[in-house]
Amino acid sequence: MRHVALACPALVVTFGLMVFACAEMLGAHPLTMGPPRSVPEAIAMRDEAGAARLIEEGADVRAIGLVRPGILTDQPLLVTPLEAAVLVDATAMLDFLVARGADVPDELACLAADAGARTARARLGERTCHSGDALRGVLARP
Amino acid sequence: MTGLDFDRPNRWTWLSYAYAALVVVGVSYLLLDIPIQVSDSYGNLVQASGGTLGSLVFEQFRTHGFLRPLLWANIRIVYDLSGGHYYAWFRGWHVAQVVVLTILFLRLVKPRTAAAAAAVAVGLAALIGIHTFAGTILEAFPVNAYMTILICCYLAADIALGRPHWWRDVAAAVLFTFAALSVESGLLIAVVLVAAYLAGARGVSRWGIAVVVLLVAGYLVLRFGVLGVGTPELTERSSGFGFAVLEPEDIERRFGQHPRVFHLYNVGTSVLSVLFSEPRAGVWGTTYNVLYREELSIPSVTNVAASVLGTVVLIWYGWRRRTDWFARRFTRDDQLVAIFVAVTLANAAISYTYTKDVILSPAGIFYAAALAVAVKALIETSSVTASHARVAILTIFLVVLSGAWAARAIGIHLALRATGAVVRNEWVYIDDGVRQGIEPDAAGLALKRQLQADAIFKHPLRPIVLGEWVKWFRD
Repeated sequence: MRHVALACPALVVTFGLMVFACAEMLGAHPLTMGPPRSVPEAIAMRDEAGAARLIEEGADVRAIGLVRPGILTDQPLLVTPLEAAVLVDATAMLDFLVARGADVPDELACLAADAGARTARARLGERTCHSGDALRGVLARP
Repeated sequence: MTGLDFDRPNRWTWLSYAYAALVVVGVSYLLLDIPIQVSDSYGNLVQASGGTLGSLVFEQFRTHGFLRPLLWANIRIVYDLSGGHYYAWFRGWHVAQVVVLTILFLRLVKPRTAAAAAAVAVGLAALIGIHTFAGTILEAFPVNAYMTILICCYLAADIALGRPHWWRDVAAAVLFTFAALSVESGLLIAVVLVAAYLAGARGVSRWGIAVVVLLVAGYLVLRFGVLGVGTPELTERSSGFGFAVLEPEDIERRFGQHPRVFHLYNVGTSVLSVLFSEPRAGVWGTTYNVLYREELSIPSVTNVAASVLGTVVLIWYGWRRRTDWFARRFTRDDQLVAIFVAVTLANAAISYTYTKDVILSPAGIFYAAALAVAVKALIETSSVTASHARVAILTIFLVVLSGAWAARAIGIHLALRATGAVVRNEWVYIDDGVRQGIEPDAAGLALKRQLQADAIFKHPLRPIVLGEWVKWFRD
């Protein structure tokens, strides 16, 4: 009895991992949301390599994309890659996108301020913004 | 069963090996998902691939602060063997290291009973779940030198705990030389061999031990007297102290006049880190969270709980065996525990200038082995003597102990998947890194393009594990 009790937690972890790995190899995605479906979603998931791959494969760096609920917020979001980079405060990705032709709108600095993205805010500089307007604008997209 | 029968592998042995194979498959599945990393790796590969193997090794005898010629030889040999298939070979090498380490763990623990097989499950969870082990699998260097030393440490113990034979003396000397010239912590091989000998193991003879001690002296003369390699300076790295990490200039300001205080702190906290998972790299992070943060971090509390419970079992084991130890009567399990104690003290001592989790990984793997034999003893002892009430309490204790270590194992698996993302993201910005420091030639640039393509395009990241529950296991 004690032998089983002792081994049980470790066995559960090991066999759980086996099930997880087998499911993944068979194409399922247990415990994950699957691969990113757009450049903004890849950035929101902090899969910047995935974002770079999608861009190299021809994805538009300016195109608004869907970020599924549960990744950044409980609701789905429609954001550009730059906005996604600001929301997760990924400054290196911001530069990467700009180098590949993304245009930086003035409101992006306001979004950085609203999202509390400190490094992105420092990178984009100060702008005169109405607090919360930029973030509300993004969240209100249909 | 006779003593000889008891030494032979039986169904519990094979069951343990089968279970360990599943553990290794699980870790390897995640390990193979991590590409070769950029930091401390791409530049090393560029350097290792230039010139001849001989010139590469020779150059390493002329560096300052570090003496690691055989590590560079190891990288170069795998590089040449790979024939351009770097991902497969270097990542495969890392997986092979984990396989070898796990086999050696089982050879040391020698499961022959149901209790031992059950203890192996906890021991393996401790082996991969302990914080000191993380750096050996999360750092995707071309060749993870720390992992190499762990294998050498277990191999040294395996040689020392076997039946006496002349070839073990030769193997001990060769192993020490290889390990000491791979990474500085390779010196711990001598500690393993001497500790095993003092605890009654005679796999390596007195003369074999004498040769290893001479080799240690020779290493020190070579390093400090002949080559003048020295050691890294006090002010070369930031280091943990109290609740914070001090920058080199802060260390110089606070301890420049009294470096011994800083050294003693590093040694003391290194021992505590192995035994209690707190502090980590000199920083009392969990204590700070408990004292000053409103929200408790579940993973860090689990880590400390697992280590405290494990250390309680080790203390119980030592207390129970004290009479025999004072009479210098040691079983094989006692010898493993003795090696753990010696390696922990020596490992802490060599961390006097700078302590971090991965440096303590040799002590960590012997902690796992010692825990496995101590837990086995706990089950077997109570089977004979305990009342129903004590058995019930003990069962609850064992489930909590095992559960806590299993939770730590989940944490390291989650960290492996997350590391795959972090390493790949480094490759997105490699060109910034190239501009900042490394200046590769045409071959180096071709290597960069191939490693980058491997990381981003040929082996894209498997999906990141998301969910609130992740926070229960990983900060």
